[in-house]
Amino acid sequence: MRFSSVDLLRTVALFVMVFVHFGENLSGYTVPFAGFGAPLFSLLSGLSYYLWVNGQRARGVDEETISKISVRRGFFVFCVGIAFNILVWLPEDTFNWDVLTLIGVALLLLNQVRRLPRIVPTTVAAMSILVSPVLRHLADYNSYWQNGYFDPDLNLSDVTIGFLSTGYFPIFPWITFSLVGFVTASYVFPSSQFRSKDSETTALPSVTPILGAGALLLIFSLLALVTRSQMPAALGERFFTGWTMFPPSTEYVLGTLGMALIAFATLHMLVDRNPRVPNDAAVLTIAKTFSRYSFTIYILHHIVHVWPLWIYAVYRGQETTYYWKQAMPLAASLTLAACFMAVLLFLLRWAGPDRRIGVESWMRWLCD
Amino acid sequence: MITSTENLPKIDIEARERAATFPDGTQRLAVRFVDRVASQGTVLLEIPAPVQINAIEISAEEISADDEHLEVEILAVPEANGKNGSAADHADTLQAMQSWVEKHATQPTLVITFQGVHIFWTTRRVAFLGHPSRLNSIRQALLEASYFELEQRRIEQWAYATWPNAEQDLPSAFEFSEASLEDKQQIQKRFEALLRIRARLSRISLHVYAPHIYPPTLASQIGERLRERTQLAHRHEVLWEQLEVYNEIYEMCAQRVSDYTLTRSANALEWVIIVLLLIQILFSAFDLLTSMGS
Repeated sequence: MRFSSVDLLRTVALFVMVFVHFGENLSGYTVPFAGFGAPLFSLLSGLSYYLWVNGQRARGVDEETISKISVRRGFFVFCVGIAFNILVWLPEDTFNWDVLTLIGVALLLLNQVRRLPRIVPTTVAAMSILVSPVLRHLADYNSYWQNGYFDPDLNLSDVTIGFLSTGYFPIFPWITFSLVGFVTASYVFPSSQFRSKDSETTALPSVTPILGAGALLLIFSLLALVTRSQMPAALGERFFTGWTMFPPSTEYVLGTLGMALIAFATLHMLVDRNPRVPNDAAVLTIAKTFSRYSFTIYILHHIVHVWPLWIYAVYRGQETTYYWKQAMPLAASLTLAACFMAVLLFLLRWAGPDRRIGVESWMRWLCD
Repeated sequence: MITSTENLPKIDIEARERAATFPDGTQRLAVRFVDRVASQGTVLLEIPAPVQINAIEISAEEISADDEHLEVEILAVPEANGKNGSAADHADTLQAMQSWVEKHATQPTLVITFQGVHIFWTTRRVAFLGHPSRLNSIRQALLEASYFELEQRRIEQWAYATWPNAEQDLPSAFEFSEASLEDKQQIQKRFEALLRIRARLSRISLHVYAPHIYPPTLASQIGERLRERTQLAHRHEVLWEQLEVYNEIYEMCAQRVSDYTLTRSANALEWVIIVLLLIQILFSAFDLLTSMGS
């Protein structure tokens, strides 16, 4: 069962991600909206997982099979993430812990919590936010980062610490987004909505609590940002470290989580529950096209803009990463990003929705 | 003498009704059965406790086509000049009465001829012909019989409509899960509805299983004949058994819901403690890892 709000949000996350990456990797410029794509992506992974589980249940798939598929999918995404690191970021960055490895682990964890009371994933999500600053302090986060890049030693302890706390997208606190996404979906989309033969229509839950929770998180984050200088040293230096994505500070996590929840609740109310919005509206069709291939687009957009840098540098007899962040001016890199999305849209529309292409199809073929 | 509608000649109902002329003194009443406390208007019949329903007169325009209200239209036709009318007129009147009754009928008309009284009966329309002095008592008997038939028919319709819901809830009678919790309120509502329906059915039992009255009167005999012809007692038994099945399903569901909810609260607390312990372990392991790294 597809929801237009989810497709729209995923498309927004894709656009943010593509423009941020093109700008950063080709021109060394961080666009102002950087840092909003990954939280949205992670939240939607939890949300989509819930929708997928309910879709499977509605088709009569038993719980054991759902668990097996979930585990296979989790490992698949994790392994693709590792392969992606090796092939795109070259072997020395194998264990930089990118967003794909995070989502792979999130799928494994969500499979464990999906049948537990909502209070359990909510507690885990809250604890994840709380323990993250402590773990970063214990690990001495800055010692793992050189010139703004994660650069661990290739030994078991550093790799594990990177996976848990100091990598690009470590489990703590990023797992919070997937868990909150799952809990949100379980509240907003009751299971009865997926039973087509339901003889009685149940009233849909109000989205106001989700809006309220999002607003509270956002306000708390803004307050923490504003009052940080007046906080006790232990809080101001360890728990609230300003708006930073690397490391993901408490303000950043709460703020982006709040914004994502508000965006989802608003779109769900305005689009999914609005009978006047036609399903075949042009924007929704485009969003559905992009959303259906988000996994593929994530990998493909890296390949098309990062590989040419490596290949051209090798061709010119220079160090592989010589052109990284200095290949072209910002205007050119952002134009390329726009062209990439336009060409992609054309190709995906031309291929049609039924063509089994992309990483998503491989995942279904291998795991389902 | 009791005859069925199949024995009568086929007639053009619409044409008959258009041409129908009933003798002087014919009364046409629209009647609604309402709770005694809510009854307003002319009370035609009071059905005593435990039913406590009044039959009140309403205007013909108020009659609704749906099953929301228990309503019946009744046509009381007096014998023309006692029994002095011609045989042809008498036959015409009977045919006109039948065509009037059958106009909106969805099932065959019951035709009862009994001690000089002619009754054409469907669930929504009843017409009878009798001596003017007996019209009132016959009408009372027919109204009472109509109410019990209508009420039982409505419960039967509910029971038939409930089968899909009961089948849908059947898995919850055996196992309850986190996902089923969303259905808790729905199951609760259905269980409450079932209990209300059972209460309603039990309230009409007194009439359905009432023994024959001795010495018999015309009114009591009409009531008994209608009960037999509509198989009220048999249908009541079948209905009761059907509701028993629903009751078993929903009792088991209620038990599962209760067990699950109680266990769930205890489990949630345990899980929160487990999460806290895992975090403690995480800190210890992390401490170990950082010391290995250094």
